[in-house]
Amino acid sequence: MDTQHPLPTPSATGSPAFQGLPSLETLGESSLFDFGKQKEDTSSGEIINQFISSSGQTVQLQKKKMRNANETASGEFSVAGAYSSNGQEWKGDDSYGININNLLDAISAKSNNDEERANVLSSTNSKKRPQKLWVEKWRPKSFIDLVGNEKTNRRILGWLRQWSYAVFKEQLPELPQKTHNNEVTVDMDPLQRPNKKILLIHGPPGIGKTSVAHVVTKQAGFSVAEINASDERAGQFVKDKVHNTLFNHTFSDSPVCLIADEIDGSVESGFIRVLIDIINKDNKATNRLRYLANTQTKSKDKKRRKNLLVRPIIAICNNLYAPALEKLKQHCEIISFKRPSDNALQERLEHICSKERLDVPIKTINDLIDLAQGDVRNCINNLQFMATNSGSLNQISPEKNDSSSWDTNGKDISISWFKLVNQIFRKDPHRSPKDQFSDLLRQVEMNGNYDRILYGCFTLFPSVKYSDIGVMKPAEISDWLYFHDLMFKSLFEHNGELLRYSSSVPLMFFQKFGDIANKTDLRVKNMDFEQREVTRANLDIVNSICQAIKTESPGMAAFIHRTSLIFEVLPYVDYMISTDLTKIKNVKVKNIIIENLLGILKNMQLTLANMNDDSSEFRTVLGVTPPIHKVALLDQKRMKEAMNKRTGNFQLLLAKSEEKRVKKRHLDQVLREKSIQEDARNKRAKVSNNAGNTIDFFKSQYASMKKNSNNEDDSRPVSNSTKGKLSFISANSNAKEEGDDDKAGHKNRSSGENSRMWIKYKAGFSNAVRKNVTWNSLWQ
Amino acid sequence: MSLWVDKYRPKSLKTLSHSSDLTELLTSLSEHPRDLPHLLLYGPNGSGKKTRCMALLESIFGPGVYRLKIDIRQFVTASNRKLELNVVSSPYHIEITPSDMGNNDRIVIQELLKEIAQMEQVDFENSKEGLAHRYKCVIINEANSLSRDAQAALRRTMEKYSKNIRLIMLCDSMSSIIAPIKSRCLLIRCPAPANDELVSILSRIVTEENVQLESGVILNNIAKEANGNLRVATLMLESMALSNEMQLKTSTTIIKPDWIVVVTSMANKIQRERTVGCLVECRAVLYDLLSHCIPAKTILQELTFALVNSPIPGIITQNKMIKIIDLASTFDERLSLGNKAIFHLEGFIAKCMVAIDSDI
Amino acid sequence: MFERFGNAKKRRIDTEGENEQSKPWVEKYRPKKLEEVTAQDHAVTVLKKTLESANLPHMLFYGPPGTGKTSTILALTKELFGPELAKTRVLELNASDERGISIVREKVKNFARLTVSKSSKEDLEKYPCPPYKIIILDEADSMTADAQSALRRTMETYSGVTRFCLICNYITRIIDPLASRCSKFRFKSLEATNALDRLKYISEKESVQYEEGTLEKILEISQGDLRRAITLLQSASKRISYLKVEKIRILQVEELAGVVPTKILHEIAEKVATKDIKIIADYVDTFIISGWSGVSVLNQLHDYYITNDDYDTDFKNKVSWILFDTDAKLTNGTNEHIQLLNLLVKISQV
Repeated sequence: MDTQHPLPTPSATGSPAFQGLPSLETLGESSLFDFGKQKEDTSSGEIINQFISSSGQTVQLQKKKMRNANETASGEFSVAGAYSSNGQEWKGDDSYGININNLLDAISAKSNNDEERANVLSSTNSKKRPQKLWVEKWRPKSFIDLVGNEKTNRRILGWLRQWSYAVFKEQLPELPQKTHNNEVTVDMDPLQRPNKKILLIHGPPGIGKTSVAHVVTKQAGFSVAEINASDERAGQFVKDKVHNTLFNHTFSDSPVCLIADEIDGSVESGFIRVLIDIINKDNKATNRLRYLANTQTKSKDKKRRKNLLVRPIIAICNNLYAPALEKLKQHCEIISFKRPSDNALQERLEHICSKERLDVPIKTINDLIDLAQGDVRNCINNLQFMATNSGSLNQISPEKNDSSSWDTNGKDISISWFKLVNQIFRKDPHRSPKDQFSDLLRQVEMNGNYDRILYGCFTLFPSVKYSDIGVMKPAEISDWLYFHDLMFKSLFEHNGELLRYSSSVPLMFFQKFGDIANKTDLRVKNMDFEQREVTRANLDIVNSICQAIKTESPGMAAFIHRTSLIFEVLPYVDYMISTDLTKIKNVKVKNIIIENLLGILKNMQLTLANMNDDSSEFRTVLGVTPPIHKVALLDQKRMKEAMNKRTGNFQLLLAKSEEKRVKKRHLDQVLREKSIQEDARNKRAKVSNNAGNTIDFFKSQYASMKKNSNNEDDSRPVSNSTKGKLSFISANSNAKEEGDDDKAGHKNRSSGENSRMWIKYKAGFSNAVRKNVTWNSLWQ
Repeated sequence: MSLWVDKYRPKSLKTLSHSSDLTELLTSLSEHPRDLPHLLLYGPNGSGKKTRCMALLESIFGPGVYRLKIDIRQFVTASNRKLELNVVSSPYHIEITPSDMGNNDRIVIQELLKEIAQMEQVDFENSKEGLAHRYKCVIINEANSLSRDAQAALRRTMEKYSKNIRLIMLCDSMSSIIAPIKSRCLLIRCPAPANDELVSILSRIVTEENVQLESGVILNNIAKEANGNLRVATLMLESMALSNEMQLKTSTTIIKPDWIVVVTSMANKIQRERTVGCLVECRAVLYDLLSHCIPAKTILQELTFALVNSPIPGIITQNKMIKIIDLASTFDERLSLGNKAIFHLEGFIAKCMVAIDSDI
Repeated sequence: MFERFGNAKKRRIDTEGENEQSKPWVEKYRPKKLEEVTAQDHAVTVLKKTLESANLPHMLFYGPPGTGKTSTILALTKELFGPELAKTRVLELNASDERGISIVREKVKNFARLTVSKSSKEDLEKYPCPPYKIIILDEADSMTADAQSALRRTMETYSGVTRFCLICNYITRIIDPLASRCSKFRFKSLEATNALDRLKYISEKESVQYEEGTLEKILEISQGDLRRAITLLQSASKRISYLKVEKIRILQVEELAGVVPTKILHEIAEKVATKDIKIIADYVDTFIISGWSGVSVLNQLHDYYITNDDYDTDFKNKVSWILFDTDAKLTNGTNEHIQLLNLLVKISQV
């Protein structure tokens, strides 16, 4: 029984070790494997499990010694801290030494407590209930509270976990993919930090990027230092601040993680330069460290360590293609955020409603979600508003919640603009039009948000009922909209003195489109906002192309023009690269065309790279970066056609360009290049294979490995693996990326007598099969 | 290997292909580099203003003008905000594009020009070869988008520093250039190539690139579609050649940018169906176009000419056409004065529908 | 590296002599004395008197571009102070300088309150050298209202040692308090005879040959803007020197000035007369593609229709309304193609 402490690199240990990796993600989930439970039963330092390894040896699974659970246990989960004091002493895997089942119990107990407390609160203190903003109250406090984007959340956590060694001096279990990567890149970070030292999160506004970053960092045991747009971020000032947070030691227990929010503004270039500076200095320092480690002269020079970045940085932006980010991007691990799905959001809102003892019909919730367009914060705000406004405390009855009650209830409070918009289209037959008119006028003026109201009216009017000959009324209203536009413009020219005249325009809508037949509330979608966002993103793409051309080949810069790029060049280039190459029979012509296309791509500074497909989350598609099709393609039909046709083309082009590059290189470089290509080809070839059952695959592979293992060289370095094994590994990592039916990506490497094995299972993934799998089923 | 547009771009005055009168004028200017006046080149998009301008500089300064580099310049705005601008420059000239600098074009013009004007003098005195670049050329792209303030700032600079600076301004339309500037410049009109000129340029490219032609008709068609825009014509030719295995038949379909296709189909839809439903569809298309960075004014222009030039017969009569043109001019102005493009574009469509339905 | 281009010699720099030649004629023939200022008799006589008395009010020059406002004040300062002293006594700020409110508060005020430096003896002999400084604010109409109002007090407080001269195109853009503090000089558009004399003088000096009526055409095109006229003359003379033609011809001038040749103008009128929209639309299309400027053709059309006696007053009335409307729209930065088409179509329907 070997109680040796596991070493950083698995190949170095003589004894077989098994490291179970139930990830932290499993916290909120049920444990997947039986042995997970077994672990809890045994106490620390003892043998947990035994099994027969590939070489036929009996292998003992062991636990690692735990240093201090307090370091890692997140502040929120005080329960976790309690466990370490209970003598539960194992750690070093993804679960942070937290006993899952107990934790689950604790959570449920806690939430019960919460509920009880809430009950008490609501019963005793009911009148003061709305004193706390719900947004604050229901802000996600722990990982499981997060809404939507499960996969991305996990990626962030995973990335942060990679810092554990550097920050907590805590040994991380070797991840299968990671070693695989290292085989290619060779360079290992001496501090075992992730390759990219900044995490860049991007996504549309108001979907909780900041919240997620905060929660996840806390969860991983960091304390948060945030620098956002409200802080001074000019040159020296921010430099000092960043250095203070990153490199100085603090008295607080938990290490700091820097969250740089909203970094894509145009004025942020100073801030970004500071970040890049840090990364560059760090690279130098790392290299020096690596050098020192190699030459075995471990002089612990403090000065040298000073530039070393030992704290993670998370950057958040809306727009990935913002020009300011251009330089930073290459240093970043980029994670894209999507809007949470309506279902997830709905679930969350229902949860809140039930906790707040609100009886809100599903339809209302859906309306809210539609209104807010994925903005969780907005939803919750509205929910609270509804609750306080409804007058009745613990229930909002469906019939009371409809807008008629709003009219009577909210007389003296200005009502929200979307309600108002709906009212404008509703003619009340029981009231005199004059009355209603003056009432509406008052409402509109009180609201004051004329622009918003008018956009609402504009979006809604085609879908309401009204009588008209042809499109007379829309045509007439356009004059009034122009009037509003002019009045609204005064906001920028004469301090908005004329803006109040805009109030008459919504009333024009009432006059023209108000009808008795309009009874139901309609949802207002804010198309304009979306369009502006997309425009900005597209414009940034064009700008980045412009910039790339200018910097890479200044000779062309004189003739590159943004408007001509949008109008003419990009659409045509797009046509050119979607030429169907497979159809061409004549090889000579084909080569000429390929030659041309490659030239164009190079000239426009476009590169071919794997991109995430918009339609599916897991598939990566070969595409052009920057994505010119987003600017150039408009026709929906052609877009689909082109996207399908194109991938093949790109593959061919990539191969050709690769080939060209190879030709140019020196001989031995050629060799290396080829091996990489081979690798890539294998990967591609294996993609088709991975559909099969991985467990079966694994078994067969394992059997063949057994035969081979005796022939393997003892001293084989990690990076030197045979082709077959490589393909096996890549196939598995592929399978994992694909997120297929398997919950386990496996990696097996034999070295002489000893066989080692790493198991990682993606517990808790929404697409993983959640069932208990015993070891036996894996081994047989 | 690059786009044919760039590949076949003339680099010197001698190789300029169309409008020989203009080339002659430029040559005469380059003969006397010393008293080169400030120039204002105007003409439609794709008529080769920039190419001519660079060719002119080439003939004055030599091929060094194509040795371009990018400088990053910093400016400080009135509100003490730092502003960075990438400036394309060669040893002999410098380029500014107002749209790069947003609202701060006045400051950039003031600072940059003054800097050049003052710096160059020293540079010139130290120059041992005594080269003639005693003045530096400043090219202003899209001069029509310079704000009034910036144009006003240019006025005196043009006179005061005329020893050290020559301005060459390029614009599509002169209507938004203030009179004082026009009066200080030599105005040069750059006409778009006529159809036969276009065809001859295209056929030269075709032979150079070994594109198989069934007949010259296709080139004619391309020239017609390009409507005098040489850049579009060349791009069109290249994309058609590449997607048709370098063989062009008479019947080969002409490729147009997506956004034009979309606008044209919208014009057809408006003529065929004049209902609120159609209006809603149009709105979606308009949003789509706008989000693809197509300016509202361009959409309006394309839409108008799609309605006027190729109407579905029997729907738009002469009188209705007059009405539509009138509407276009009104809404064009609204787009210029207002900010909310979508209101006006949809308003235009609605009014057009009404006009088509009415029985004048 | 210029050897390759054969004319390397030409690129050599000559001394001062050529310096003068490379100057645009506008600068070269800028009047150096008050007497040389053509056609602004009123202003010149008043200013001459001030030369004698050496007492100068605050001044406001206004008038269309190219009428000699800047030239007048520059000539005046030269005559008042002489070239040496002018450097310390005159501050010239134009729109190319930053003239925000902060500059007015600092730079202008600081300069204004400086006491007058002593003038040297030689200068005193030659020039009147009155004991005040002059601040020239060129293109004052582009100053913000804030900056202008910041000037008000400064002008009064330091009037003992400093005189202001504001120059603008549109007096309406100058705030009233400022305008009331200045004596106003209106610079009218140059009369044909005055300007013609000047042009003749220049062409004589530069030995330019021209056809009969060319100078008149130049003046007509430049519409009283002498600067434009001179620039035009210079480019025309350059053009003929290259073409080895002896004389400048009207056609060349038209081409250089960017105005639409009379021939095309007549063609337009012809097409309009057909009243067929298709024909007009096609013509406008080719017109725009050949790069003609919409604004200049608008002015010419105005001249053509209004001065033409073939049309009756009612017609002219309606046409000028349409022209006005289009001009307004064009100034708002609208699309030339659409506006021009609309203009012609509407005229055709009158």
